[in-house]
Amino acid sequence: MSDDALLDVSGLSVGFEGFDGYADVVGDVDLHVERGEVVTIVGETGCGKSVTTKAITGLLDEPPAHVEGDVEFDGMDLRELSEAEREDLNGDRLGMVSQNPLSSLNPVFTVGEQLTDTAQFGGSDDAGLLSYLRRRHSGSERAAARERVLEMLREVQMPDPEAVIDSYPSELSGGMRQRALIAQALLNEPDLLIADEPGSALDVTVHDRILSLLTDVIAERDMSVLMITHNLGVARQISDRIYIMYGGRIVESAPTEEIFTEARHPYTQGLIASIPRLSGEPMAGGIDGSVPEYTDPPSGCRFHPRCPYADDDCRSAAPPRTDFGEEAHAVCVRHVDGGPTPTIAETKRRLMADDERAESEVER
Amino acid sequence: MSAPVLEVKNLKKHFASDGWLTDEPPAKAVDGVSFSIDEGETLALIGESGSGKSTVAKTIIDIHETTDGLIRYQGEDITNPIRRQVETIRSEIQLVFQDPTSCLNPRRTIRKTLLVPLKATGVPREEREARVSEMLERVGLTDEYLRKYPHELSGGQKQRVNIARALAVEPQLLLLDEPTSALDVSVQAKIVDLLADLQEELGLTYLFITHDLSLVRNFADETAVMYLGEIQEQGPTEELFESPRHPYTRALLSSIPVTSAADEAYRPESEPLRGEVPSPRDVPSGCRLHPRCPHATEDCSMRQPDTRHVNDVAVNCIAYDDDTDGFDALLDAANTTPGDAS
Repeated sequence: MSDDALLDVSGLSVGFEGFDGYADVVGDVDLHVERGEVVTIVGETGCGKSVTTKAITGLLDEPPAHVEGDVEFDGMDLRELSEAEREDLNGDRLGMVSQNPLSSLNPVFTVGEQLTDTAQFGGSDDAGLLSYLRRRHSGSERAAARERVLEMLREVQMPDPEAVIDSYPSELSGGMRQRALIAQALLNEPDLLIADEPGSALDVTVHDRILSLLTDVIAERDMSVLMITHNLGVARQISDRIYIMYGGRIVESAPTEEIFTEARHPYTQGLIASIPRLSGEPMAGGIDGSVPEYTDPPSGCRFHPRCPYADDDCRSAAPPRTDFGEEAHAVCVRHVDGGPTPTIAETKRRLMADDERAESEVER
Repeated sequence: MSAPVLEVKNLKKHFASDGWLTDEPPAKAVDGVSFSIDEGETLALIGESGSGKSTVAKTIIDIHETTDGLIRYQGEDITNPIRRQVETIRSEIQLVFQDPTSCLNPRRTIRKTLLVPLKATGVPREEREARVSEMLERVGLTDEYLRKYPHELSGGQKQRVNIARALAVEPQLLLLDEPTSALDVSVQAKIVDLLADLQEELGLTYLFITHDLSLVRNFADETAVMYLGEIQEQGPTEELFESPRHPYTRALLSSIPVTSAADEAYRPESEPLRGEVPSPRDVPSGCRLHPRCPHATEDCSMRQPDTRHVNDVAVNCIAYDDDTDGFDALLDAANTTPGDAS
């Protein structure tokens, strides 16, 4: 890890005080995004991916959330900033694209009004109501901002931007809304773009085009991106480096290609083996069980109830972190204790064997 | 040769617009769909949202009234069925929905949920409890789930309960409407596995509806690709994956984010589709894909494409018709243009 990381998160933990007791959701999260790097966090539903980014961007209400740890963005400690300073940062140096393109746009304002506001006021110091009103109604400044919005809409390949800018979100299709959101996030040329499953609520062909648009935009600007996805294929297409998250812990990280050729954590391996293949290669029968209850997480390694390699070591103590070279690490005891080393092929074999055993038990 | 389990001919379902003051044209959700499924086989129906694939399933089991066309089950005409037929249909054809949560009554325990179809089909009271346990076991759940409520179950377990409920009446034909798309991959693989085992064990026939082509690669015997209420390409799954011919099939295949180089070979080099699915109220003239198709010619907007049969695969495409080498030749030509070479 270089000292130059744009985003450097260390020891981040998030918990929630709830009706069922304290939910210990995210813990020990260390991650960093270098300048010009595209990083994805991959995990299934309920693995704490979105909570992690919300903690980074300060969008969690405290309480009920308890956030601890350091979040350093370009040398600033984000956790120390006041609310006003945060607001200046969000939307200006930190861009965000959220998953649901409808609920992120205000239905009672036109797309143009919302985007022009971002272009005009995003990241500017809060100088009071009078100054706001003066600038809001200054014709020339408003027109210039609108021009910038139009330009950005063209850049995200929005069909017919002149008509779209005066439309309400409900008049646009899902793909167009998502494009509008991407345009909004890019308006102030953010240093870091945080994207939470962009386009995954849309149809496959549209999703694919949103992704290639993002890839182009990112490459063009040399932007740093922290993206969340549940789809390993998407991560492979877009990112330089991947973090795999399970049960609120980062269980593995590696450069993208390495994840697919030599994944080291059994969870990653199980995920890869469960993806349906176009080539018709048989897939493993999935991973048994489901993500843990955060109010009463499994002891030791949080993956052990579902892991085909689990033994007493896994149940008793939190697994150690093993580094593989500069950029890769896995958090699994199997890499330390000299037992069977998990490989993709072996995990697949075990998962399929599990399946057959379960079946024969049912037959009996 | 015995009759196919399900035969659908030129099925149409048009939804008239609400209200008597509007003069909106009807939404042609399904517009002339034909297919048949033999016993013990699986037909996959693929398409994006709005392609009418779910409407096909709902029309088959008479949730929607058929506008036109013919539906035959075991050789018997069940289009807009009469009362006696409805009973047969409901006990022999079952539908499993996409969202496992909204299909389960949150105030009923799993046991009660599973008892309902048994009561409805007149299973004697004393046999019911045993049948419920047997059903649960079949989908890989234990008796301890009997007293649980849906909120205590994970998504995959709920979908198992839904499948168990569908199997309770011992159906012949299962219509699976995106049964795994609300689930994570590790769970999805489990459910697909379960469905394959059940098919083998009980000799079930499946109509498997999904938007994910990669999922049906190993699962379906035949695959039909739907777009805007029409089947565009239909044939044996193997053949369809080896050489996809219709531009829409190619676009669908090429938009799947894959995870290995071996898979990448199956993604056809294809120009992406433009824009989004148009409204079924205002269907484009000629070939329905032409406003979005990268290979569209003027001819495509003028006339309906004829169905061509190539190696057991039926393709509805004019552009393909014009060039027997398919699109590879077209694409090669496009790729070697000076603009791309730089």
